[in-house]
Amino acid sequence: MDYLQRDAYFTGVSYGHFDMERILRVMRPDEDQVVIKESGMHAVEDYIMSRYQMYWQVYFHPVTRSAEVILTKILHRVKELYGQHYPFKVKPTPFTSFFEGKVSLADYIRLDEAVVLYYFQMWTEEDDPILRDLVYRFVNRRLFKYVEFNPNLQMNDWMELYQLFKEVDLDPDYYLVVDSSSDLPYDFYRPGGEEEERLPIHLLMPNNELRELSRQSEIVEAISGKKRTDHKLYYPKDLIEKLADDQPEKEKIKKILYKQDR
Amino acid sequence: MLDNHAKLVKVIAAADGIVGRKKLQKIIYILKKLGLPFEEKYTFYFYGPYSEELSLQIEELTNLGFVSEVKEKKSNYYQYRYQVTDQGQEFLEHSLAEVPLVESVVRDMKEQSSRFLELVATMLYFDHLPKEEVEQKVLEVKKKSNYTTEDMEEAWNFIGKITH
Repeated sequence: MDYLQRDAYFTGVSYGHFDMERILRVMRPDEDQVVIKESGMHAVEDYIMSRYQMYWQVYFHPVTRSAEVILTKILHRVKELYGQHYPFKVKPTPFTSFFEGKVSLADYIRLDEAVVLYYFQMWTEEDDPILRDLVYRFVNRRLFKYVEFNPNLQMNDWMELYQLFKEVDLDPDYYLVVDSSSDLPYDFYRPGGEEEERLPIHLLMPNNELRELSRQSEIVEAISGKKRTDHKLYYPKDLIEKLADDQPEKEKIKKILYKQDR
Repeated sequence: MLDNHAKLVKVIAAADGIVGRKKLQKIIYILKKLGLPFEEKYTFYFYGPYSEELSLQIEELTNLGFVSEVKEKKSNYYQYRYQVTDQGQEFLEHSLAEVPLVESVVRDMKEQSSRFLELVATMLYFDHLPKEEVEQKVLEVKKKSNYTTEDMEEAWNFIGKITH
C-alpha cells in the first residue's frame, strides 16, 4: 500500500490517496490470511480504486513507460559492453555485481537513484554511440515516441521494421522496443480465478463467513473484469527524421510506423 | 520481440498443452531453477513460488490469441486449460527467442499433479539449505498440505531425474 502513497506524492497527482489508517484498523487476522471486516469494505474499495487510477495515470502512462524502456536499455547496453571488456572512461563499478549475478545486500542498497544518475551523467561522454545516446536521452528527457502495436496482427510489420532499422544502422535491439503491460512491476487487483492460485482479498461478514471482495463490491467488480493488457512500440522518432530524405528506408519506416494514422 | 512470451509459448507447445494455472506456474519456476533462461520474477506466495508477471504474460498471450484458455468446471472448482493456437505457432516460427527445452522433462512435469509440483518447487526454493533443513522448511510452510516422507522422497528423486 505504501508505494501508491509515495508515488502519488512524488509525481504530484491528486489520486492515489486512501485512508491507510482506516484500512489498518479494519484488518483482522484469520487462520492463514489477513481479512477485512465487512464494515471496512469502502476503505478497501478506495484503495483498489487508487491502485487502478495510479496504474493507468502514472505507471502505465506511455511517457513513463518510454523512460522505463530507455532505463532498461541503458542497463542492457552497459552489461553488454561490460561483457565485451569495453574500455569505459567511467567504469560501472557499483553495477558489476548485478551483471555477474552476485549481488550482496550492501551492493543493492548502495545502488540508489543518486548513484545511478551520476553514472548516467558521466556516460554521456562515453565513446560508445548507443550508450552515449541512451543516457543523454534519459537525463535530458529526449524519450522515445510510441505507436500502438498488436504483436499478433502486426508481426510482419515488426519483422520489416527490424530489417529496415538494421539497414539504417539503428540497432533494433536498442531502438525498436515492444513494451508490454507485463513489463511493469505493478498489478491490478485480481480476484482469484482458479482454486489454489494467488489469494484475493476477503471480507469477514457479520456471520463470520468470508466473501471475496469483488463479489460484495460493485465498484471493485466493475474494474476487475477489464482487459488490462496492452503493447506499444517505442522508437526514436528524432533519429528517423534525421535520416536523409533520399534514403529509401526512411519513407518505408515512416509508412509502417504511421500507417494507423492514415 | 516478446522474447519472454515466446519462451512460455514454447513450453506450452512442448507439453502439448497444460491444464491448471498453478501447474503452469510451478513448471516455469522449476525450469527456471534448472537454469533455463526464464526471466519472470517469483516470490514465495501462499502455494509456493508464484509470479504475478507470469500471470500477466499468460493473460497477454491469450488476449493476443497466441494461446487459448478454456475454463473447465471440475466438481467443486474451476481450472484453466492452455493450448498453443495456430497463430501462436506462427509467432514461434518468427521469434528469435531461444530456450534449450528438454521436451521429455516438460512432459514429465505435465504428468505430475500440481500438488506434487508445488512440493518440488517449494523444495527448490530452499535449495540453498542442506537436505534435512529443506524438509523441515517444507513441513513448516506447508503444514496444511500434509506432505509425507514418501512424498518428499519422491520429490527428491524427481529433482534428481530432471537435473540429469
